[in-house]
Amino acid sequence: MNISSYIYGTSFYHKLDVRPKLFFTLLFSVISFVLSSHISIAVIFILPLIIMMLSVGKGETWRCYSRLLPLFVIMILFIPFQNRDGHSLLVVRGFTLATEEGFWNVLRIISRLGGISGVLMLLLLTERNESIIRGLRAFHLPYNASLACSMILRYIPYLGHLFSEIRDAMSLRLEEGKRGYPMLPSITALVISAIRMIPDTASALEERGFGRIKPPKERIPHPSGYLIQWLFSVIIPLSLLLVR
Amino acid sequence: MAESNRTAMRISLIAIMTAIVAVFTLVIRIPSPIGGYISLCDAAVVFASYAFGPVTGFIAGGLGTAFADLIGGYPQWAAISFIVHGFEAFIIGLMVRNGSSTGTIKSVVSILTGVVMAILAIVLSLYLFSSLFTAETFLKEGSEHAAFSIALSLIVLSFVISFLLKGDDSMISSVVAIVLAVVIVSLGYLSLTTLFGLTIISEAILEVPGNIAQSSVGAVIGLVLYSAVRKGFRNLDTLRW
Repeated sequence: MNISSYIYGTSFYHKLDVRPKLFFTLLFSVISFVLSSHISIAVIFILPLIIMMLSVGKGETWRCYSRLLPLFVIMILFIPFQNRDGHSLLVVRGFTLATEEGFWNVLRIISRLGGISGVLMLLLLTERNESIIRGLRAFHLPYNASLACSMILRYIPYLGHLFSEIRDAMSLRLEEGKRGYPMLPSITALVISAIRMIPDTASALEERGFGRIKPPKERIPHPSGYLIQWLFSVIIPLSLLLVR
Repeated sequence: MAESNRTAMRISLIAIMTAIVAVFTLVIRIPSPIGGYISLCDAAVVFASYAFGPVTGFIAGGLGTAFADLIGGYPQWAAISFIVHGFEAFIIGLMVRNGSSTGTIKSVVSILTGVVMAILAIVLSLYLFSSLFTAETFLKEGSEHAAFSIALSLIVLSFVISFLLKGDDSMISSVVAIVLAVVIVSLGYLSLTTLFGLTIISEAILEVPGNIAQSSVGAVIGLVLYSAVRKGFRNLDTLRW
């Protein structure tokens, strides 16, 4: 099981330090809720799309956004149809199917959803999971929480692999000609195996000095142009507020 | 047990249970036409809260589903999943005390509850889909606010009931816990996706039948899983905190 979405690259967004990148992601997501002008709504959708295309290529961008397409289609079908107040856009035999307000409403929601999804996917595509945790540590995420997050990221692929082994073993027990696997025995075996790991994992943590040795404060060196990176992360989202 | 040993045990427990919830969410995943997906996460969430209590359940359930959303390509739902599944686990863990009766009657009642919930989900989905294409019963704009208020009121009511029945070691309490968890999941997604502005209520309401079906079936599987694991791992209760 592959849990990392990271794609190697040398784009400017890859080179952006994880701390300003995290801040940009958060600020961009928050600001997308307060914008109302038509241009800013368009920018919220298009900006992450362009950055993603420049950072990871058209193929990966399509793969990420194609997951959202069914959602967009349903929104286009239902929201203008739902919002029938205001100026009519589409009238069939005196029955208003879509209005101007409904049309802008659907565009606003699609843009916000696409923008937030895009900027979050961009973070995961251009940063390794460990770097994101290190970046969160820089924003004072407690040591125990970051330790737990690192352990979770290591255990997910391990348990995923363990489950596939259990599933394969269980499927061999089925009668000849039957396909699939018995779900309940498989997930029970997985959970029992996982729970048996808990005391061992706790002992391993203690052996490594957990609770006795104070963890050193990890410092991430500032890359060149660090201040400019921060300015990019703050100014770009905030400038959207000025768009009328 | 020394404090550091206890903390190490808690961190290990939370990390492994969170990974279990994430694996359950990622292993069986059917994409829904409205952008989300149906998974087995509720089984793991219910198991975690039954076996290890409200705190572990809240963290493992919330973080596990949020991690699965982030890893699985649905990052926009991570925050909502954390809140909804976290509170689902918290309510169950709060209401069902450690080692509560896990006999045949309870399993039968739970399965019946699951069946009733699934039938309700089908009836509701049929009603919704038929009403959406009929002009007379189409959801009016004002009804969105009413539906939103009802959803939030039911969630608040669920919390009140769960606190009233807190730690009540009875079968009724277990069944009520599961029903409340189903309410929290279905209405939580409905109100939070609308509140976060990711969709509007008439569209989010389409997800409700699927969420009811997923959480009720998941809850039943979670209960059966808890009984099975308890038989295979006798010291399960010693890990609870």
